Amino acid sequence: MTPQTQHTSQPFRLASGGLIDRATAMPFTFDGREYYGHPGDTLASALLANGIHLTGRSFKYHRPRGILYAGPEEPNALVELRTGARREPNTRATVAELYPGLTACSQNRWPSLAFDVMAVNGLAAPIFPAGFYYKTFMWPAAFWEKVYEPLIRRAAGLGRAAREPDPDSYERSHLFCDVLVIGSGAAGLAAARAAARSGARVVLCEQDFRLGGHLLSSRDEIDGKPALGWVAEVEGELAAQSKVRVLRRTTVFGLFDHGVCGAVERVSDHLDEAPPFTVRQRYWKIVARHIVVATGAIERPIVFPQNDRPGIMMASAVRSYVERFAIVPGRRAVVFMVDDSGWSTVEALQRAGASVAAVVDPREEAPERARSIGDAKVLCGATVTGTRGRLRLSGVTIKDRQGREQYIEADLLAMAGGWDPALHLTSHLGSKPKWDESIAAFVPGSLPSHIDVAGAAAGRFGLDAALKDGVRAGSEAAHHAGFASVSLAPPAASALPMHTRCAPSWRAAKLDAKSFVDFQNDVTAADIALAAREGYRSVEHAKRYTTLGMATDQGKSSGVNGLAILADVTGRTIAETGTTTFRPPYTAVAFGAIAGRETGKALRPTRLTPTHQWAAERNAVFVEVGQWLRAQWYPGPGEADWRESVNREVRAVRSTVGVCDVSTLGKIEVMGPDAGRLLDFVYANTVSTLKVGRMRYGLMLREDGHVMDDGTVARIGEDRYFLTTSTAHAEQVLRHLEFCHQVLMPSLDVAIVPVTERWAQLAVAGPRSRELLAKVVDGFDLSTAQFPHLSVAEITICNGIPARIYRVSFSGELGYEVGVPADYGDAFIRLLVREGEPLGLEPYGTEAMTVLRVEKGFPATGELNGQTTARDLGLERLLSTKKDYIGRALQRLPAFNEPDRPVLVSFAPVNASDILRAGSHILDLGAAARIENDLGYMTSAVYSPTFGHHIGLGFLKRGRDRIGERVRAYDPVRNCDVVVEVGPPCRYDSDGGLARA
Amino acid sequence: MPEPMLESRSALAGLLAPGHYGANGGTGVSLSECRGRTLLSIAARAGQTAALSAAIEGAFGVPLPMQPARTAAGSVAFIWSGPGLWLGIGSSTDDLARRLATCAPGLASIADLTGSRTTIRINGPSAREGMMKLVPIDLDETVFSTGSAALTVASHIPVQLWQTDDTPTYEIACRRSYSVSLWQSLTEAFAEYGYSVAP
Amino acid sequence: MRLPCPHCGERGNEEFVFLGSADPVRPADSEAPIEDWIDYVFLRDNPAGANRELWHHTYGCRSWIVVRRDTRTHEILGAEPARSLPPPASTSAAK
Repeated sequence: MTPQTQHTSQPFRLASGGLIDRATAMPFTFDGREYYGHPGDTLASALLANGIHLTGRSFKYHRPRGILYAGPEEPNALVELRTGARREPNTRATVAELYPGLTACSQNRWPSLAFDVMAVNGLAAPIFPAGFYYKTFMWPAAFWEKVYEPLIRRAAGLGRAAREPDPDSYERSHLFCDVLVIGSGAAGLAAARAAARSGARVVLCEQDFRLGGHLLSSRDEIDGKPALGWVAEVEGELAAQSKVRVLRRTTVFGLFDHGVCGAVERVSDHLDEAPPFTVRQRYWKIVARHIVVATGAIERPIVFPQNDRPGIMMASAVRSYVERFAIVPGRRAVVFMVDDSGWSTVEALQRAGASVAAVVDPREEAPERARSIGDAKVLCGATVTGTRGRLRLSGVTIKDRQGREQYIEADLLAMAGGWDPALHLTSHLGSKPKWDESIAAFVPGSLPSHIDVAGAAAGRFGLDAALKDGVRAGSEAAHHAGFASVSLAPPAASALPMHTRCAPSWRAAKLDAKSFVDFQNDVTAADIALAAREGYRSVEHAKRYTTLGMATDQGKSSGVNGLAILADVTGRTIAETGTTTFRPPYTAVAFGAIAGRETGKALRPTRLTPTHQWAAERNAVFVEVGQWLRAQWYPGPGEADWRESVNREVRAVRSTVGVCDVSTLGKIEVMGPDAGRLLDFVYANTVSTLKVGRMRYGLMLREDGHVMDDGTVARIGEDRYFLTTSTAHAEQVLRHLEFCHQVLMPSLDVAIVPVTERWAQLAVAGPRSRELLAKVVDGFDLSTAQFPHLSVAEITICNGIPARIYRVSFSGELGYEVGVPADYGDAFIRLLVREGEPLGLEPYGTEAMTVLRVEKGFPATGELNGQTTARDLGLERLLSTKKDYIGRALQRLPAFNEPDRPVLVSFAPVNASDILRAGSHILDLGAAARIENDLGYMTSAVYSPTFGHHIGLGFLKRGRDRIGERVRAYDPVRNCDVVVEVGPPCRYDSDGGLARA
Repeated sequence: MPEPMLESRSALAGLLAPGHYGANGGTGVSLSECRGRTLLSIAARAGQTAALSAAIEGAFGVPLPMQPARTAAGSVAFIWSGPGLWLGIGSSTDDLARRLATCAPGLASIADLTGSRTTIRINGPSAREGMMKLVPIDLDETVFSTGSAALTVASHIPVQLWQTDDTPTYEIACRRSYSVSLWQSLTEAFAEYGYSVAP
Repeated sequence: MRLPCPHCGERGNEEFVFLGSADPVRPADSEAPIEDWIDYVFLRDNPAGANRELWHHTYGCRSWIVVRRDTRTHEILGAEPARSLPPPASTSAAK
């Protein structure tokens, strides 16, 4: 035929029948050439309608491969779908729904699908046996990075991922139901209807875009009607019920603990582009009280020499292409069956006008059905021993009962190798499938009580069994979920009861190097035999050594054949050999679907302070502190770099006044008659002796004796305390307080309420801070006599706005913190800046705050790093000896009391222009930089405009005895090797007079 | 002399431009911020839960909910926030704090949380379907209906959620600092239904 | 994974934070033998079977709960609020 006729006609499409809309022709391109299909087609069926079987090259040997299946178990027909940023590799053509303008490319071939230079790998097959990589790329080790890995990377892989960011959006959603039915074949539909009729909330998931499963390609009758009519009737009944939700194009890919299931709905994959405001895919997290797995069965290929040519298909797939898609996939067919379901394929092919040249069955006698199939030659006791054809099957060699070989020309070979229950999901919770000799297949092992399996997925084959079992499973699931059973007669099926009579095909197979077991990973029968000879007798080892059942195949088509061969060559039964474990996901899930909307900055929420908008308007540079965004510094006009800005901010606090948003500090109110008792137990120092209106520094330990956090405790009222925590530890401290109350001291009458976000809390620090605040408070006396250091008061500001004022200093200067209700924070900071600028006010950020506190020797995150104790920090005077408290007991541990333990000191460079770096290790002058000479480490380092050089805080062995000595700060990573002088932690205003003034 | 008053600013200021957004066609969801509310944390003193509830019922006409639920009388509502803990909501004219202190002296520890939460009202025919994307709890009307309340998480943000009518109308409250992130999550989730923002 | 919060009902594990075994009892006071403290703080059994565990409903009602879970099957056997359980002798007597 000419390309022109191929454009307009679909030469292998039947004139009638099928579930396609012939009235609409849809153009699509494959490898740059345009074809037509119809709505209702998959890419695979549309290709077959145009006579294209060859769709790709195999992974290792680059052998030509064709469409094998009609569903998600397809190992061969993997294509690159779409182009540009939407290019999606390894898409199974058998599930890609056709849409107008679809563009697909074959993979793993160069320069073209028909002529692929890498196919020489096939000729060299003897050098690519099982374990090839392990054996070849062993040594020398230096070759790995430069030679082996680039080599493997070039040869490996199938499709190419897009290089641009994914332009589509994805999302997650949640569903809850009484009964989840997975699969909408006969069993699934029967189960969903039975459960729905009892009143349960039902979710039915179907991976296909159409409900029906195998019924879509069957000519059976149910309740005297064609099966499709029954499907439509059940579909209508389910759609009419508000408590039922049917999700099409939705694959349940994982079953997790306690009824949690993961599913992906391909919302827009069947469209060229997702419509506006519509996601490409949606990840459903489904929580089901009961689950009915009705996933059907997957037909098993037959292992024989050259069983992988384009034109060799599964018998069930042939049926599906004929009946559902109205395609005749070949003109002259051979059907090779070890299972009676192959007879339906013979009948379907004949109805479609194909000639069936031979039926090959290794079993000794044909069933009754064989008599009514016309002129097809039925060869019992025979097997297929080889095939011919380069890019398409041209003929089949058959060995008959007497051992004579004959060659029959054919362009289609259908294999019916028996059925494997699609039990993958049932194994996700750890249940091992069991071998059932009577059906020669694995069936689900024992399952938790909330999971049931119905129909073929349970190994109960045949339409009648599926319908009965579906009704049973659906009713039982609803009953277990608390709904009254509705008596429901199972629909009656016309289909013949399926007699498997399955002759295990693998025993007939030669262990040939061209007898493919795993089509996707190019694993042959010979590879498995080799693995066994080399000692990989365990199925788990053999799988990994040969790569059998890896990648997207996951053993769907190859698993049972592979381990049956392994069993055979190791002289064990299949039951003894066992099977590998199936794990989620059942089919490949896009990372985009898992991420949902949580990409980029939306990976986690961002918390904004009440003054964020004002700071942004002032061009603040923000820093992430956990989830918070805080102003790090405020660049000023003419400033060359951040240090100039920070120096200006520090100088303002030291000389006039600065304002800093400290709202991110954790704030907790502890109330009730026993509040003091709880806090005495939680803090290492005593809290309950505070007078109302006073506050103090508080230190919390962990039970293991290390410091957890520090902060302030203010007593607001007789029964009311207000705690602050560090920004980083706010959640941990709150949870710890709740633990101490609820678990350790539940009898205390106390309430713990986080109030962090109630207050916009501004630190106002510097010699002129009092002068500034006097302008905003409503007649409150800020003098030291009335409001000394470490006082707290509930006041009003700005004519009646409630506020709390704390006299506290984290900078060493006269300082206050003022809390106003958060919605006033923006206006309040604008007011303070306006009123303060004539006094010399500068807003300051976290960087200046760090400089100020390092000058004062106050510990923060670097020092409270979870490995330091109160003694290490020089805070042992706070440790109460009069009470039990969290962390008291284990401070007795000898390691905490070693005299050599590093303690907090400060450092200054001897040469004032030297830069200090946090992370440096401390060594004696002249000592070699070896771990045994390590004396400690630097935890914080800043440039101090107050002193005109860098200063640092850190921990030094016997540090208190070494004040004034010189040591070496050594950071080989950043080329820092500086002589420093050891000082006391506090270098600025060491008697604290300024803060008290 | 400073300004007589400071201006109060919503954490969502600038984001709440009234209009229709997202998909064309209908309005599946309407969004607005609940402003001007007094919020109080009400914690029962040990062993006083029943007495506190009775006192509140006497003063306000509704008891405290004893399970994850909301009770309401006019503009005053009480929302279960944990064992022995409630969120009291009132309009700025309800004088909720004073009335509580009067009706239940010694029965509760009360902390003012006004302004600490941003509350967004969500209503419309697609509200439930949209909320399913945000919170991992069952919102089916047989499980979560008018008067129901829950503490849960939406897009990694701790939230409190309650339903006020059968439309359905939900109110979702998050801590103030998360407001912008929650707003972004909400509007992304609702865009496919088309949503309107009211002042 | 789903956990039955005694207050909020069944919720997903994303709302909870796990601490560890609920069995260790805090020693009577800080002067108790140091071995008892080491046991309490550091040493844990690894039981195969029913286990009592402390979980915190962080994104819910902020209750600490004791969950009984079979470590072999992952079956949840029940859950109670930690505050309803008898407190360890030491802390109830703490002054």
